[in-house]
Amino acid sequence: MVVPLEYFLILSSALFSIGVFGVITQRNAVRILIAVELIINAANINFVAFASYNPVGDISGWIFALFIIAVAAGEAAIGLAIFINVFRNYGEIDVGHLFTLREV
Amino acid sequence: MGWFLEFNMIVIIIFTLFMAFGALRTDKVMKAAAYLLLTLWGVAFAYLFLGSEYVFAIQLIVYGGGIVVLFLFSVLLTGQEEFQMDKEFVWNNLVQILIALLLFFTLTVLMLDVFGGYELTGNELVVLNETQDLTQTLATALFTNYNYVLPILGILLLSAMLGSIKIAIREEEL
Repeated sequence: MVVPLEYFLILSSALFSIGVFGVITQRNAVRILIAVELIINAANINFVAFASYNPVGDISGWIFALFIIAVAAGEAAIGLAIFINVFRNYGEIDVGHLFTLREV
Repeated sequence: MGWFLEFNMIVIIIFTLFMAFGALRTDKVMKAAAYLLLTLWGVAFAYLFLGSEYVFAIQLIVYGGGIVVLFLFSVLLTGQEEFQMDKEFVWNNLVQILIALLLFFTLTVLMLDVFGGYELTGNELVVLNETQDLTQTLATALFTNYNYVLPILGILLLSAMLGSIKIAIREEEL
């Protein structure tokens, strides 16, 4: 065995926990988006790891990982566009002070 | 050879987790983006250890390139240099740290319990099989069984691009 599967499972669960910690503790919207990216990467590691360790050599998990990376890119683009718009309207992107997406 | 790969993987795990934690704890916005970049590189090298060169390359190009540059642009456009950090320790922080630790231990114990004793023959098949070109296998799967994935991705990314332009552009610029 080259590298045991357990290493990747521990990496992904630790990355997921750090991401969840970031989402529940941070108030800056950019930082929350960074934490969401960490969570998505943790899921991706599991997809690729289970596909690679699959006894029958089925690599569907890799294709799912590609799909997730593309969806994450779209999510980041939309999220950052929203935050730029919010910054124009409010002058800050602290999510504790946001109540509407309308212009004030 | 096996122990050397295992040692390298441990180094990459520690590096990735430190960088991920740094991205959430540093008070400089630019540093947070740099830490995120290094975290994503660490994850990309984990893919390399899993024998998936193609996902490694995509991770480096899309995440390491595109998304981090997007973050840098948004940081520069919103003109922030430092995050507003809570300087003093509050009990709320302890509760949040405990929630994260509990989540980590629960997930780890659960996954190791379910998959830890799994008969792992596949990695040798994927990583050490030099007769089979895995990128070719991936491409064949992508254009036969999963041929709907690429058109769906194209439509999704086009709509995301148009949507983000519509959101970010000012009304008077239209």
